Amino acid sequence: MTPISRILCTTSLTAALTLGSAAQAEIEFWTMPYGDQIAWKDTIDGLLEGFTAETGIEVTHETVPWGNAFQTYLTIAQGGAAPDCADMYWLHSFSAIGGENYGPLPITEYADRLDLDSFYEGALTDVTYLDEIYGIPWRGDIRAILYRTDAAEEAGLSGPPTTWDETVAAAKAMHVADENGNVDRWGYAFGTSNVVSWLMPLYWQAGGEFMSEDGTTATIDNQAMRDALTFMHDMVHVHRVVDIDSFEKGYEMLPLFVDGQIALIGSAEQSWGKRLDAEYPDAEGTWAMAPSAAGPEDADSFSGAGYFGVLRGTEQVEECVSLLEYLSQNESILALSQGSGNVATKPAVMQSEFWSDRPWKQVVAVALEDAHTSQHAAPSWSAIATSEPGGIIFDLIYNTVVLQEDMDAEIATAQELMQGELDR
Amino acid sequence: MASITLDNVRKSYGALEVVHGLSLDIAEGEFTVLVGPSGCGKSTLLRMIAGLEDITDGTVRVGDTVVNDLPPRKRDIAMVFQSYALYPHKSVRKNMAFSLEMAGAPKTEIAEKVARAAEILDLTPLLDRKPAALSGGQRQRVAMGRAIVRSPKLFLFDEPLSNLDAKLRVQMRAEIKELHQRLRTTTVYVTHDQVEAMTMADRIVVMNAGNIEQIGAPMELYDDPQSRFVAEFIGSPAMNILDGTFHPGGRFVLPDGGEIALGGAAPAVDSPRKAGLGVRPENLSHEPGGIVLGTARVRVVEPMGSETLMTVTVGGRSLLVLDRTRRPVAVGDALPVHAAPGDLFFFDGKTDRRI
Amino acid sequence: MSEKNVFCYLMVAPALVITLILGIYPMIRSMVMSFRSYDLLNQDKNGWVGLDNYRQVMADDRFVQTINQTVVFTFVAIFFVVVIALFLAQVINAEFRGRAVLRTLIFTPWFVPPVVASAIWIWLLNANVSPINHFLLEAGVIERKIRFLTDSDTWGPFSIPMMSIIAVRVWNGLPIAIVFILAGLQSIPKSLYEAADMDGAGTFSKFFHVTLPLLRPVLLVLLALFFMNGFGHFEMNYVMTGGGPRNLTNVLAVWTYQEGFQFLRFDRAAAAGGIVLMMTSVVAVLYIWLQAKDVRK
Repeated sequence: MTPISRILCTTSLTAALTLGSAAQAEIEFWTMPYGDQIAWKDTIDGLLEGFTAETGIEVTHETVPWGNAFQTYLTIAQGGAAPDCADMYWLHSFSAIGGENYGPLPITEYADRLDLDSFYEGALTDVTYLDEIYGIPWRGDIRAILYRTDAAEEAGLSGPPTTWDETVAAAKAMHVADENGNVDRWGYAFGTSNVVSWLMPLYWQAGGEFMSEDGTTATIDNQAMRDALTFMHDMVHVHRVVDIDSFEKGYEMLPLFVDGQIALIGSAEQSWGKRLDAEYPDAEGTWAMAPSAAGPEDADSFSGAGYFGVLRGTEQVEECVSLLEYLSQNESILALSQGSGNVATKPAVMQSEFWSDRPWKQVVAVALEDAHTSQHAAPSWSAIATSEPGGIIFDLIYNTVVLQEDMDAEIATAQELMQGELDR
Repeated sequence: MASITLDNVRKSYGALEVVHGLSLDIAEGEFTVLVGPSGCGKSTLLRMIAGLEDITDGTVRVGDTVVNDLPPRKRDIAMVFQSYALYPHKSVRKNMAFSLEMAGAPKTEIAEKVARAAEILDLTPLLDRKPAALSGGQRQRVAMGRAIVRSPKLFLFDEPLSNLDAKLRVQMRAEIKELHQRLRTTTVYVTHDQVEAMTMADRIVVMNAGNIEQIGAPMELYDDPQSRFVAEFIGSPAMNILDGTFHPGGRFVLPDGGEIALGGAAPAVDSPRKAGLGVRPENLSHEPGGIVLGTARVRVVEPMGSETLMTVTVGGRSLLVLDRTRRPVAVGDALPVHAAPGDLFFFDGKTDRRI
Repeated sequence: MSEKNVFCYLMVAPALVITLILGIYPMIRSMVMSFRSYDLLNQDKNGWVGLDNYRQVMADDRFVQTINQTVVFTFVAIFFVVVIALFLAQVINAEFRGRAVLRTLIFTPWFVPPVVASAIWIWLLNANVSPINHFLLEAGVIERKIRFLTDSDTWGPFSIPMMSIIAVRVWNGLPIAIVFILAGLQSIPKSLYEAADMDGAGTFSKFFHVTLPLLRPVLLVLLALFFMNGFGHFEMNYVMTGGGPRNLTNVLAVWTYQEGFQFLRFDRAAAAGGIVLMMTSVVAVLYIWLQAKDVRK
């Protein structure tokens, strides 16, 4: 190197180091988008500005599209580029994959700063793994009944069904078809989203659990599973109020519901209420939500969640915990809930005006009382519960309900396979 | 074998008429050549006979049958294309057998006919080769072989020798003529080369801009052209033609004022008549005798061996002289130019017809 | 090394580097992975297992069915594309009024990426709202709505969802085939057809004896491309049916994706990938051999 280059090199290096150490603390924070992307970014940026004003810590925010989210976190759990903290889900799976080196970072020693008691108990299971705390739950996804009030009126129903038997009766009353079997309106659909999520609330309502609390033993070979699967099977083949095609990929339920071709959805995502309000204002007055109907044991509703947590490999754990602390405040949770349209994870927030100005929102708040988390303590749960052909639970449902195979044999096989997965 | 009769045949592309009402009789077994410059309509006429072009008006008869509406394969005609159009993926044998296969002939018959045609054209050692492995002349023969296996009533040739080099062309000309003498099939042959026409034809049809200029045996056209076009087209090197005016008294006045005294050889005129005076280079001589055309200055001398071609100027006009006397000549020499009265041709200035 | 050579290497280098990094390296890694046990959830157990993964997947009935279907899908789709393209290319090669309009119509599917095409066709083929069903019902041709993507009746290896997806694949692939064949057609000298006319060949004979043989090089390239693409096709089957119903429309690429990214069994997915590699290699080798044969002649 020539003398001049050497001098230039040394100078710039020194400058960089000095500047670096003089710079403020800065953390990188990733979230997925919820609802309108731009509005979401505004919500987050607003919150982050408040945070920076209070603590002086700069935050760069990046949005990870949902299409990439799984791949992104999978890569992070295997050593890929990670932010300091992020909006995450499936804590158990990613922790198991990441092990000691990558993925979610336990922050149990900071737990008292996060005011965890003010959150729904059910929501906390989403941030706990092997007795360690990993962050704060911030969004919920509760499911409830969604039905066409005009169809109910037509059928002479006085109100939404509250039990399984009432559900069957209501569905049959609202079902409309001609002699050739061409259906104008299906009486019932199990749920929105994916097939496995249809079985889960029914199974819980029948009193079942998928696995032991420590996540080591599969517990699906029991009467509750038979009750739930029989209910599903009969709805399709005996009462014939369910479109068997709904089990296939590509089935678009929302347009069909808006069009009046589906009368009642058993376990609909609460975000649909928001979508109907926003995208189909003309449908106002033709639909309503209702708490899940009760099965033999209870009226548990499906609930999913997401949390904010810290990633291994960061050098700014303190700063990240400060951010989580800030975001766990009631005002922050409310802002997040309003911005994303997801239910909040704190009872205090769910009682606010924002969550009581529409009838369906009031239903949602009520349903939260009976929420049953869909998270399970086993890392292989995401693989077990994958809603694709070849997935254990999916095959169980598909074989017994659609293909009408022998239920006992299918359940026994599923139990065995699932146990095998848990042993992984 | 069949005769061909064309009766007032026309061809138009939209509003443009390219062949104007031609009538022609070709006798059985005759070798007729259609000759003319590019664009004169000879290929179009040939393709109309073949069935590859629609006939806008008039009738074409092969033998007694009107073939206007018959597709090519029903006309019992074989054609040899300028580009040979051999099937590149088929062997020589298969190329020649193809038409017979299409006609559904039995295998033994096909094999026999192909063998015979191959023998006639000297193709037997090449039968299993593909066209890509053949020379130009060989390909041409295969194209002919393909035509003769079917023993059709009529052969059509569309400028088949244009793609060959000069030496090969001379050889193939003789072969084609020999083939015709042997098979005696009625043949229509299109070319732009008047040498081919002269050497091969029983009768020549000279065409120009969609019209027939003259029909006749080669020597007829040579000795007795009925129009200026035919006179200039037939014969190589081409006939010299001087433009001028006939005046009473057998005088031919050139534009620059020069005069040629023709005496009794000239046509009788009462008043000045514009005309062309034609004489073939081989009929011009420097020996005294006959009509004097003037004194010429030699500009270019091209010795060709047995004869010498000279470009001379007479009265400002260039003439070609073909001299067989082997007289020593140099550029710049001044020589008198003579011609026998019987070797002079007169063409009307306006109609270009022979006077 | 002469200056000219250095320049050449420099020019080729970027493309070469990209191919190596994005193409060759992942392929090799994946092949290595197929011989190891690779469970994301249990990384202590990862190690060399030789052909175990391959044995495992070949013992899976669903996988074997998937291989069969991949082959059926590819062959049937290619057959229809080539046949229809041969016909349509001749049609738009001829001179007639409205040819430009027809050409635009025929080339439209080209501008639609497979994923977008899938999204459009999902809607068009949805049993409940399909305009096709509506039209057929109105015309009295059918009595019950056709469940294009969900009917699980089978005839041998065929099913309605399979035929539906094949139809969409054919629709999407026609323009490329037509362009190739059109180019080939236009390089056939007209005089060959005239000679065939004179030789007494009818339309079909002209097609079999002139058109097809002279299209051979073009068709070979087309078939090679289509087969290699076809065996690895993913988008349509994944987006439209996810491999269902009852695994009837599953193809190797979809199976591999699900195995790896949903069930997190990367070792089995890699084995499946290895099998696809073998299949496409066969096609590639066949193609190269055929080309070499032509050159040797």
